[in-house]
Amino acid sequence: MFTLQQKILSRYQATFPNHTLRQVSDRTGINVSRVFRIFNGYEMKLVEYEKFEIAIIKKLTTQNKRSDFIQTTLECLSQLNEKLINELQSEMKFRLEMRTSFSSSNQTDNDSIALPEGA
Amino acid sequence: MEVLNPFERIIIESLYNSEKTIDELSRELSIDPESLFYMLQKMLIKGFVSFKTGKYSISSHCYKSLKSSLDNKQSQSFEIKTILDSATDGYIYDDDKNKLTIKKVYLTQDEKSLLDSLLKQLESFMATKAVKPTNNQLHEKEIFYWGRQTYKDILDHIKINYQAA
Repeated sequence: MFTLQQKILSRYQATFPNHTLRQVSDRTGINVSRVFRIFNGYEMKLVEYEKFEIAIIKKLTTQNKRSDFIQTTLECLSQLNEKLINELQSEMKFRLEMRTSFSSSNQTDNDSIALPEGA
Repeated sequence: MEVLNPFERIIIESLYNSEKTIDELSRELSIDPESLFYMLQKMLIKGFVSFKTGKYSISSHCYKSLKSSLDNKQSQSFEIKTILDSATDGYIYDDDKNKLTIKKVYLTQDEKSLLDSLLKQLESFMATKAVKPTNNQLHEKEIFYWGRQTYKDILDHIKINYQAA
């Protein structure tokens, strides 16, 4: 099986242990027979990879007030052109730079967010 | 090339006038010494400033790279965005001290000429105010911004950036 595909499926199974093929299908929106094929080594399409990725991130960030941010970031990645994505990335890096311009002793727990593994 | 953030630009501006201790910088910029120390350490690592006998100064050997960083489009873009972000918040949250004014108007050709003339007067006035009086601290320096666009300019900008590739 392809390395990235293997990784995303392992992460999915770690996030949703004991999910049946039907539940995977419901969660990702991918046809159940296609899910069966994917788990049995058929090459995954990019759009299917994204659906698994989104399902994992949604689950991991359900309790997190910043989950909308991650969802929006994914939507930006899929819908905006490269120039705008570069601008957004520069803007985010700039804001981090501004944040870290101050002493790290000023940081509070609320300022940081634990990123899900691999996200 | 290093991109300078607005804090670093202001620190450079202050040190350009004269070398300073951290307390002098703190008073001039109205930034607490602890945060300032952290920023200066980063600037020392980048090689933009030097520290000698208790005073910070601009590193003489990096004037050229510093000038490139100051002129860097991304550094300038971040500075403008920081200014306009602050002004936009003032507009949205109705902060009189930090207010952005926007007017949308139709102008005749004569009115456009009149406005051009008024703007030229304004620019001439501002040019005479660029020199710092000795008794003013850098954090008291005032920032003004003006400019104009048509709806077409904005629509074209949106079209270029958001039209499907």
